[in-house]
Amino acid sequence: MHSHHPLELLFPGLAVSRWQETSIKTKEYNCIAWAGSEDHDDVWWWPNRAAYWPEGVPLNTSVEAFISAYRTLGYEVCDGGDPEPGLEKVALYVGDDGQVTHAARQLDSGCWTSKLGALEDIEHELRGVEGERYGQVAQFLSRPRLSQE
Amino acid sequence: MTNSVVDHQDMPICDHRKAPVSNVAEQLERKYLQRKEEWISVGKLGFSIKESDFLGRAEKLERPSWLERGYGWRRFYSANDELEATERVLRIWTNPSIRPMQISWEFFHSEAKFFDAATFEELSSRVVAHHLAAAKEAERAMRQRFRDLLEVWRRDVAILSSLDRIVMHEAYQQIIGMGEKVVPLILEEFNKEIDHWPWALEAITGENPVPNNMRGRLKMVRVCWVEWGKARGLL
Repeated sequence: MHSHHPLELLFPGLAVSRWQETSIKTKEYNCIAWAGSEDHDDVWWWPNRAAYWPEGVPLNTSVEAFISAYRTLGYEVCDGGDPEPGLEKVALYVGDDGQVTHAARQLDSGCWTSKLGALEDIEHELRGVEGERYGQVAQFLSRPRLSQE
Repeated sequence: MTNSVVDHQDMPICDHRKAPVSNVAEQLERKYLQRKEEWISVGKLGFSIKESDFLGRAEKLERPSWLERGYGWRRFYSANDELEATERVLRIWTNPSIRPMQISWEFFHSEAKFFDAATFEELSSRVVAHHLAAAKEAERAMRQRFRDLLEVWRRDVAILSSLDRIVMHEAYQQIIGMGEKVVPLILEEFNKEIDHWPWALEAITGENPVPNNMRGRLKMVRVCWVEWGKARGLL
């Protein structure tokens, strides 16, 4: 049970699903970088001139802009988040305004890994971090799996 | 002293004016003369200042008026805050070469009365002590405000990835609004812990020492800003 964990107060979905912390807190990288690759643990991705953003990708927070950003890493749009052998998947979360708020990456196990802002990485179920803060999953992308977790 | 209209042209001047006039004093005098029109426009005392009037005259006319109306020291020294006022006070009152600035007896006595001083040396040391104490308190208050805003900002943006929302947070914007004097505090904090300070530092200073290929890599970005701060004596 994690009923008293501070993260479950922020993300009530975690309280009714399986999840675990997998890192310490750090501000060196964010969810967008971490979802793109486990190697991206030293950079903050965001369409803002004070952050990293792939060259030539529109500087806005639309789903389309994020799809373009992940295309630079070899991801393409796909239909769903069910695990598929040999594919690595990313889920984009959007808020009520349709703008991207968060991203998560699927692990071999079928679980998802998220970096929560400046807080920890967690492994969680896809819907575990949906809600008031990150909104809902709106888009999936996939690429051939490059790494072995 | 009173604010009544008197003939200040014949007022005696402090002996200090006999000392050589330094460049600094000349610069100060020029500055005061440049501000004379503003003082005239204030017009609180109803004096008609002639072109031939000089520094000491403008001071002796306007200083008591500002004090009485609560404009205070900062206004008198054209400073934005106590730290800046103190810097200017120190330049004026601790540098012997500044003494020859044309301080009238009237001005001297009003200051001496305010600070309960009998001699110029006593007056200058008390003026400086007064402003140093005020500056110390102002700095303490500024540090506390920075800490308070920092705590709110970090608490509220902890789960955000959106750099837009992180830097547009009200507390972060208030930190930026504190202006250049907060830059050393930001650099000090940045040196201790990486955080999204580049946006604020660039907004305040108008500078950006971070190469494009380092954007988003806060560990490396921090090194750039810390070196920038050290080179300018801010850290």
